[in-house]
Amino acid sequence: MDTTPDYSAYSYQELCDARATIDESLYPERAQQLDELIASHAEHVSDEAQAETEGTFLRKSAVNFHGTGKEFFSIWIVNLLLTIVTLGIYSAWAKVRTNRYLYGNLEIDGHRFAYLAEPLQILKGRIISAILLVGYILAVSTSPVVGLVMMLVVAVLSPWLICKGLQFAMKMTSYRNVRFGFTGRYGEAFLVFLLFPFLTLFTLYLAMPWALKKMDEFILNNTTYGDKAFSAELSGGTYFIAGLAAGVVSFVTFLIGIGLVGATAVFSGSEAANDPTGSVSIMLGTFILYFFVFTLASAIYSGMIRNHMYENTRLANVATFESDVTVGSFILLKLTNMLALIFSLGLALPWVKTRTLSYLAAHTQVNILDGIDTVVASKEQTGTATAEEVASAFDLDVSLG
Amino acid sequence: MIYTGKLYTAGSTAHQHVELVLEDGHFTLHSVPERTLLGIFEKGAFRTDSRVGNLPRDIALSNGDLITVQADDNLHHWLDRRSDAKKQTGWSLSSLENSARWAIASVVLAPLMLVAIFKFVIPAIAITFASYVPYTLKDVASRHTLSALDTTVLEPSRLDEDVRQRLTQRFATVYQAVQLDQPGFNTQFRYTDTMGANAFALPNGTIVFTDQLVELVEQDEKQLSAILLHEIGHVSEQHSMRLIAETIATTMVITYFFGDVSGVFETFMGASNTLINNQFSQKLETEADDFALRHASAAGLTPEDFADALESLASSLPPESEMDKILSSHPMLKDRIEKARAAQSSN
Repeated sequence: MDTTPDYSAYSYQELCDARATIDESLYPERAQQLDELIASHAEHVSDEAQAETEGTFLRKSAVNFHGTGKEFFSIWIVNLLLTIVTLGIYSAWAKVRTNRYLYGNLEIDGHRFAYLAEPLQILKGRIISAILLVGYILAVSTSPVVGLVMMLVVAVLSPWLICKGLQFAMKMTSYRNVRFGFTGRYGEAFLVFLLFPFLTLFTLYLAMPWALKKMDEFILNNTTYGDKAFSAELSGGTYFIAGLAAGVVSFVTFLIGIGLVGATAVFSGSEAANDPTGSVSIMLGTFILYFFVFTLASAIYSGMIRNHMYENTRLANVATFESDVTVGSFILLKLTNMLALIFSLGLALPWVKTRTLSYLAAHTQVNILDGIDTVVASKEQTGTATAEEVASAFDLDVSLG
Repeated sequence: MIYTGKLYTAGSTAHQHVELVLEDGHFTLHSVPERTLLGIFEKGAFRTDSRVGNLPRDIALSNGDLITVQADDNLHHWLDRRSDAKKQTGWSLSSLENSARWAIASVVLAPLMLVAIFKFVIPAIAITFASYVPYTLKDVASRHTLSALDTTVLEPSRLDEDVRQRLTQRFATVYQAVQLDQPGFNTQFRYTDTMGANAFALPNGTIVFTDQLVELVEQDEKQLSAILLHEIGHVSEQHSMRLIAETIATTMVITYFFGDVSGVFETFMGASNTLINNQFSQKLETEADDFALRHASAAGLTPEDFADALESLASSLPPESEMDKILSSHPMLKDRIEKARAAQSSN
């Protein structure tokens, strides 16, 4: 009876074959032993599958943005004129051309992105959202009660709008002839975009960084590229540190700034409160200070969070990411952007856009893994631009930064 | 002509390097470097997007494969000169976008036309819109608004009953004097802790004075009647509805004209929306002032009464600064007083 073969040396495939051919009524122990071994191998096999999704590193690729401020300015201003002349109708075409330019000039690993939306899709969405917007504003101004109800309705709808908006935006983005996608659902979006931020109210917003982390995770973990999914594991600690850094720096800057503004007003020898010119300079000073502090805080926070997000996100066995934005250079970029916009009366907008994208591209690296050539397009339903347009009309647009 | 590009297989990231050889009505596709023939494609058997800037051109084949090729002028022309010659828009759009002349013209024309839209088109649309709003809707809206205010910032008037009666009677003669066909004009008095000396009109013709305003002008019937005329002007020229329409239009213009390149712009959008709405509101206030000055004599008043009322208001408020020209929903009081005085002297 000691003739039981040494199954432990068998491969998974051999075990399966042996189990399939064994006479169970004759050798129940052997069958049981085989089952156990197969089960333990199965775990092991899934580990191997896991290892497969990790992918092996092929090469490091820079991210290049080829757009130039000059070229984009010309496209932007001509499209703006056409939009104005057509009283907004052309804005759908303008959006498509603008996005095609920006996406098409973004290159990773020798391949460019593409924006695929059709102007008529966008136009349809815009018409519907315009009607809803008119209805909303009318209702809000007709009666405060109706307004309150409408605000509640919009709030409840907003997670759905955000999901639909992201779904459209992702689906209209392609790389190497394969589209991105978004799989987020209402339920989770409701928690992440409405409930959690609301609950942080009871922590005096101290838990806000955690809620923001949840939002970013929701977006990243529901984004797909073809049949592959992005996955991100972000750390709440980093969000707290970023929030704290932004908060402390802007608080200190604000105090110093207020001191300076006050001192200037007093120094100019006027009883600030009673003299009109004094209150003008105080108001102007406070206004500039507000923009300055806002820019500072957002640069610190978004720079730190961007690095963290990129480093902790991977696209299955296809790619991992690196971002090395430094807070100092990012603040400088944002401040000069703000100044350029103010002093050009907005005409610097295209330049601001292209130089920001160039900067971000230069500070991003993609590690290409060996799964890159085997990504397959996923089957998905076609969507419309409506939700995205409604979302942006109601100022609910979210972006990955 | 030979161009190099990439061929992406439909539905996957797989790709290979290819060469396109342009012929008259078709192109041939070869793999690189093997130079095996992959196909011959007639015009009409593939689709191209319009040209944008200097981007590589995408050629979509009917089986879903995609060719991306860096194009020169020759290839751009070849791709855009379709056999059916119907789709010329893409080519002409990008030539507009690439033309320095058009860019310069746009820099000049776009701001001008934008100003024209805000100054003429939107106000005109707002007037048309306001004329279509039925009275019943305005009535419902007004009732809701007043009851909401009553439960929040307004309290019952603490003025003496006979003061209110006296003013109400006087105001009735003003309503009659201006002879408007709009129904529903009536006067209300309220006490407030937050709104200070104020008067406002609801679109159904209800005009509310705060006790503080009545006391500020020491119950002066002439000054109060002049203020009433200003408020009647708001009602009779449908200012509430026009302001709503202008708000909607401004929001849409800013969202749809500038929303595409948002991000950096978002900070400004809220601010610019408020600034523009302030300009609309200031214009409506000026119209209401003009209405009051125009109808003063019919109501047994003079423009000077209105100037006095404004001066009483000014005395209760902190001094104005030049910034109020853009930050306030009302025109500068000193300008309004000057205007009333000018109307007085021209009488």
